[in-house]
Amino acid sequence: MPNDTILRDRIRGALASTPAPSIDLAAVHHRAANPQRTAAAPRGRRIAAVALAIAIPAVAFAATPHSLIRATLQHLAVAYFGPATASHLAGALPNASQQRRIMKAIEHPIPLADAVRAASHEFHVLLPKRLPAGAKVMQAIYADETLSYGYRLQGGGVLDITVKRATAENSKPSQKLGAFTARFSEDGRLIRSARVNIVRFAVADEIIDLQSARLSETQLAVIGKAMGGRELGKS
Amino acid sequence: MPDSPDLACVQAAQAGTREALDALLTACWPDAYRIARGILGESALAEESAQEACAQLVLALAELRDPAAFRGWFYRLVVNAARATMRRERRHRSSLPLDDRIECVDPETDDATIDRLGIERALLALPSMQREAIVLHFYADLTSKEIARVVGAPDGTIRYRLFLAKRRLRALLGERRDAAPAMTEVNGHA
Repeated sequence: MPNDTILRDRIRGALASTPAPSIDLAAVHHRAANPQRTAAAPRGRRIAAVALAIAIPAVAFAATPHSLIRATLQHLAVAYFGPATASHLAGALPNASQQRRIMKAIEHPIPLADAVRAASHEFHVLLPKRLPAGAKVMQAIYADETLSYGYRLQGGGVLDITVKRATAENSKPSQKLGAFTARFSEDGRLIRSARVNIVRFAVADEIIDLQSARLSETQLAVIGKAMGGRELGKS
Repeated sequence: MPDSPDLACVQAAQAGTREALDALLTACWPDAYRIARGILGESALAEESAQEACAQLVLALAELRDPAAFRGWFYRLVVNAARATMRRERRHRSSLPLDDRIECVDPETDDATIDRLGIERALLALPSMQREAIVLHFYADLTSKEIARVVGAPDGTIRYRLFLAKRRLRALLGERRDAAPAMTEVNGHA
């Protein structure tokens, strides 16, 4: 029987060295006082709330510039959903600190145009929850119902995501492609496509469900081009 | 073994002192987060799950009859919260297995961090039940009997899960400290 010591030490060491965020005691007590909050919310609202929850903490991973994007994105969320909807959505959020962030943004609104200008980026309220380690946001462009954004990876290459809104015209499964990821070499050559997570979000009452897809390089290039996507280094 | 809150702290919290309750929550939080992180493999989910476990602690602490059994009781809350989070994520998210998620590591990242990420990925390659068992066994230092009580499964089942998990981890990680797994190896695809 192999000795467990080395394995134990490595796993314990890895977990013990994982930095833990500080506890939000107010959020814990709020949550304890409102245990049925998310269960009581209608499904559509819950999904929208989750989308909102995804959009906000995700910017903590974005790189340029952290504080500005974080602050601006909360205001963008409110500006996009509108104060009334955002308030409802905030109420359905399970996390009290997220609720507070939204409510703060509702109470202290800034014009959308100013927010966008302040962030020096054209970007939308959607950002993926999960990012590769060290990923830095590169750009995000929203035009003609298509959202494109990219993350420059510190390991080299770019994670490029394009999201297309599902509409009556493109609702067939084969056309319902919502998101893909691709890896590019540092000189801009497409190395491989990759499987992606389903991205689900809601805008107002419309739920947009994006399908996972695995694409060939050719498909990816064609779709990326059709969507006006850009390859690495061609910013 | 992670530091456990002392008995007096648990009793004071049970007595209804807000300060004592907050002190107890603060003491429990890092463990809750790290165990959830080990099970769920993602910081945002782990934080959500740990927060839920702490909220459950606030709600149910008064019902804990034996304060000396606090540690196992709290771990049960953490595991249950992690399971609930995992179920919710499966419903709302991709049907893809966890290990298909894309990860990249900054080449300038220090070796310890790379090793930690490699171990996290190796843990994610395990089935969730084995992951729970191995995290509770290696991180929380629970015996198979204690894990059995925490997760509500027979001792023999836990021992088998631990056996399988260790065997898989050894294959993925190797025994040497410098044998961090390649991403493709852990994920099972080239």
